Amino acid sequence: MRWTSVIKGEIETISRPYFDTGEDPPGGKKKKAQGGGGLSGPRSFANELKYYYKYNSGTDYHLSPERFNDVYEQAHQNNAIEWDKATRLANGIYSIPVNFYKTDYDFAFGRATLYFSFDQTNGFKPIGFFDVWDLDPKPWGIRSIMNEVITRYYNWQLDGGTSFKIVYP
Amino acid sequence: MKKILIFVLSIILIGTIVYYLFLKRTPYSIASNIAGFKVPTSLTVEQFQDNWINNPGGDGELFILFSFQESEKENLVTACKMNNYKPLPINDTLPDNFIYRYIKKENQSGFYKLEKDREDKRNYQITILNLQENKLIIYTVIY
Repeated sequence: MRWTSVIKGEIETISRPYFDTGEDPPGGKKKKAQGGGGLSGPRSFANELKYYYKYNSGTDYHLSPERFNDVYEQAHQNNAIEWDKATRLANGIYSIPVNFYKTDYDFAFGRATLYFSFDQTNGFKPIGFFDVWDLDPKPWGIRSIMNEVITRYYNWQLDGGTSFKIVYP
Repeated sequence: MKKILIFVLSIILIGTIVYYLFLKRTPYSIASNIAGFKVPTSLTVEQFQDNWINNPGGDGELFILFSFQESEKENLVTACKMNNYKPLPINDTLPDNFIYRYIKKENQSGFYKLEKDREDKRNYQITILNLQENKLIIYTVIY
């Protein structure tokens, strides 16, 4: 099922490039800011990232506040935040991995890092996001076979692209 | 019709043999791949998590915890030494603290091998032979 959806997603992106170029579309003002302002669905957003990989020379991709909030809500509601793996950084900020497997952002991020501030009154508050969008094949046997096949497929299919960081703020 | 049937059955048979000989993913086959030496099936698997997300970036996490008998110690130590493992304690900085749930930071009895990703510093792969508690730990995380 996943493989089918991968192929379908690919066909969709090839026929309809729609990542934000920063210019208004013909005949009207643009609706989206970079990072998914206007909030397309997570699948469309994943395709947006694929195009970013292919055409944007490794520049950072900045999530919009709306996208960041949506990502956090999805992660929170689906218990995707791995609180037990929190690491306290030197500046008192907490870095916590998120496994998006159970969320609609699985295809966009896979695993990513959320940053939280903490105080006694408000508890944990999400303040940042970090991920690297890359397609690095590994030696066979480390990832699952299906996972490695998918990564190598995209590495071949998006050949010439450059890995980039996804950040917020 | 008979030829087609034989052809299909042959393909299934060859596929099955190839799968079991080369592709089947077991804690031992994965651990051997990552550790750099053959992990004997006499070790007991205590925990095995093989969680891959099937997104384009191939993100996921793998954790295997083996326990072993005193009699296996010598062979495992030799294998670690032959593969240039470093002696414990872990002197490198790890991207997260996950592994310290399974080994004390001050543990000085054993060996480890650490590989960090140059592109994404959160990605790493570690194998630890803990001689204090007779455990072999394999952990890989890819973001």
